Amino acid sequence: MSLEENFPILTEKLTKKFDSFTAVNNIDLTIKKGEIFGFLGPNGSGKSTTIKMLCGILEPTSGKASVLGYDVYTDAEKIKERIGYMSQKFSLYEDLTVDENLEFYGGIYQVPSDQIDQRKEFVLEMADLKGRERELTANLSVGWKQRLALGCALLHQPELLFLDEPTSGVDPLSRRHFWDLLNEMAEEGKTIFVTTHYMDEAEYCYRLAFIFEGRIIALGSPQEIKKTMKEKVFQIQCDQIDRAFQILNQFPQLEEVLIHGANIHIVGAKTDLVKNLIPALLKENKINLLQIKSIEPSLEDVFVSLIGREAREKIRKEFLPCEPPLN
Amino acid sequence: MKERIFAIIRKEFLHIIKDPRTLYVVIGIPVIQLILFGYALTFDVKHIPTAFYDLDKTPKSRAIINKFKASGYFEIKKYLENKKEIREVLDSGRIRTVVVIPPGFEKKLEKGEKVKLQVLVDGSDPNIGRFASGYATAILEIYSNQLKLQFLEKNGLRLVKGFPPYEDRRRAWYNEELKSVNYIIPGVIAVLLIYIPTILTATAIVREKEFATLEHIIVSPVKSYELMVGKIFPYFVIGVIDASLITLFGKLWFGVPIRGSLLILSLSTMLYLLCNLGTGLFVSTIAQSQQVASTIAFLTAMLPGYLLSGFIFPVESMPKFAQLVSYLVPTRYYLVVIRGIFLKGVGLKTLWDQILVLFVFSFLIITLSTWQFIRRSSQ
Repeated sequence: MSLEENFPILTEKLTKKFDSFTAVNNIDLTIKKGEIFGFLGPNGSGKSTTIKMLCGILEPTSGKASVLGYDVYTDAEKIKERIGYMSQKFSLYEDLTVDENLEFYGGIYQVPSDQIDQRKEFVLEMADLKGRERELTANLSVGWKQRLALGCALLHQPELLFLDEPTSGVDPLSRRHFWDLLNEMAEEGKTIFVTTHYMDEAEYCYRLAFIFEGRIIALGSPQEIKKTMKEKVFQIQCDQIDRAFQILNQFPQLEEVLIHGANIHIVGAKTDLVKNLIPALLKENKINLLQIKSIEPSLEDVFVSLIGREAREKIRKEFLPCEPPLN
Repeated sequence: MKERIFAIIRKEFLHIIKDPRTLYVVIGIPVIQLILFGYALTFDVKHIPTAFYDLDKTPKSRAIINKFKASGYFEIKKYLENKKEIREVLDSGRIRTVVVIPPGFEKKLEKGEKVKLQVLVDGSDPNIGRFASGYATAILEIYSNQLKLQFLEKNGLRLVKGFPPYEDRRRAWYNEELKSVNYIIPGVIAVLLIYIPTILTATAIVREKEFATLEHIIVSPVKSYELMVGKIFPYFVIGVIDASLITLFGKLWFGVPIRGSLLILSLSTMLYLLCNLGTGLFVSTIAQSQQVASTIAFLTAMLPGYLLSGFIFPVESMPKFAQLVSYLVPTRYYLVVIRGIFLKGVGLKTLWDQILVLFVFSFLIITLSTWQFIRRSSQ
């Protein structure tokens, strides 16, 4: 097997500049066949620009990228024929029926007419939409629409799927169902490149890349990424969580303070500071502290700490004479 | 390639069929406009509401009144009793013309003296005013000629041949009855074919931007020109259907003659449609919402098409600047073609230059908007 067959996506120093703004900065990616690769980052970090370059609709400024063995500079049309794409907007025609949407996508991806019925059958089965072919797409709930959009992207049996925030706005149960589908597809050998901002979903990915300000700041399996974290994470259980958060957030010494479910997480602060300062602060404000413990970081903690570190380093670079406090 | 274009065309037709509003725009609006324009936008002035202020009240003065009545152009609504009323009725706008017959009218006539009749016309509507005074002058002139003849005969002066020395025989070519509906209907076809292709094409493409479905098409193997052809073709078909529908309706309902070649009419209509589809395409590349697209299409295509093309106001009587702008309006050329074919029955020999301009226009507009469309959609 050739290199390209094992690695559907390969990039080297991939860069995109818009005038003086660098949206994507020297990205190196090696994505393996059959994996679910998560691409995470805040809005404006370069996620969409990267996907556009990999889909062959935006020419890179510099660097190399091959998708399914095709060069993004010269073979963009071949790439488009062989990838599947789905975005958070689902791209369905709401005034058309389920079947008419499938027909349309079958048509523009040139699914042969002797295979279209069989493919539609497969998609309807997968999306659990059998018997609802004649229903208007507008009448489907968000979860069904999402599965139909995925089905439309799969009609032409692509080996590589790009999913741009495919689960945003979808209820948790449908999201769970959706990820089960993705896992099945990956097991069958399809490669899935997915962006998301749900951190719990990131845990389902085989490997992840964190992108921030156009650069990849962490890359690896969820476990590997968690291990790279040097800072400690403390979980605080207390009542009046919103008030507690506001109070703690005023202390820059505590570095990153964030709400995580029903608890507060403190990321990157020194152990003795946490153990001494927090109980005193909460007591002073008459907030009942139930527990402080050091825990395994979640992906969100890692992300926040990485971005925090980035931001701190940036500040240090830009304002050299005045060091940030307690650093 | 064919399958992809076909898929887009079929989808586009589904959108059209499923949306009752599009059907209304495609069939309802043309028929309604045609009826409105056909009946209301008439330049023929008939039954002008008229009042007489007869100070003579003799058989001769009544004869004058009857001449007005019999002409069909004037409808006598009122006989006035005093001078003050003249102002009142003209002010109210219910009466457009007042004819004043002076006292001693009959007596003076019999004596062979010259009499002056006063015709007051409401000039606030210049069109009616002009017609009313023209008709009144004509009626009075004919009557006065009759009187002259009678007077001469009564005095034993039998007429030799050749009096009056000349007589005008008027004939209007191309539209013998001077019916303005014959002139209006071809014009309505021309302006209707601006609205439908331009606005429908523009909004159909912009809608895909709004719902982000365009994003998916761009990621798919569909090429820009395939998307363009697929999106435009259905509206081209609709334009052709509309053109045939209105032409048929104008012919059957309003009895507008079609004297020239249907083939030349069809071909130049298609060229004209391409101009407007191209404009719609161009608008779609700059507008981000359907609202904006309709507004731009209205300002850049419809207004000039209605006002600067010669549809209602003749180009020759426009100010110089407007005349220069009108050269850029495709409707101007198409109007000459369609009126020529409908009313004059002329062919390529007379119309080739207008058709050539339409060809050049459609070519330029389609090329420019294709270029713009491809440039925009690959960003």
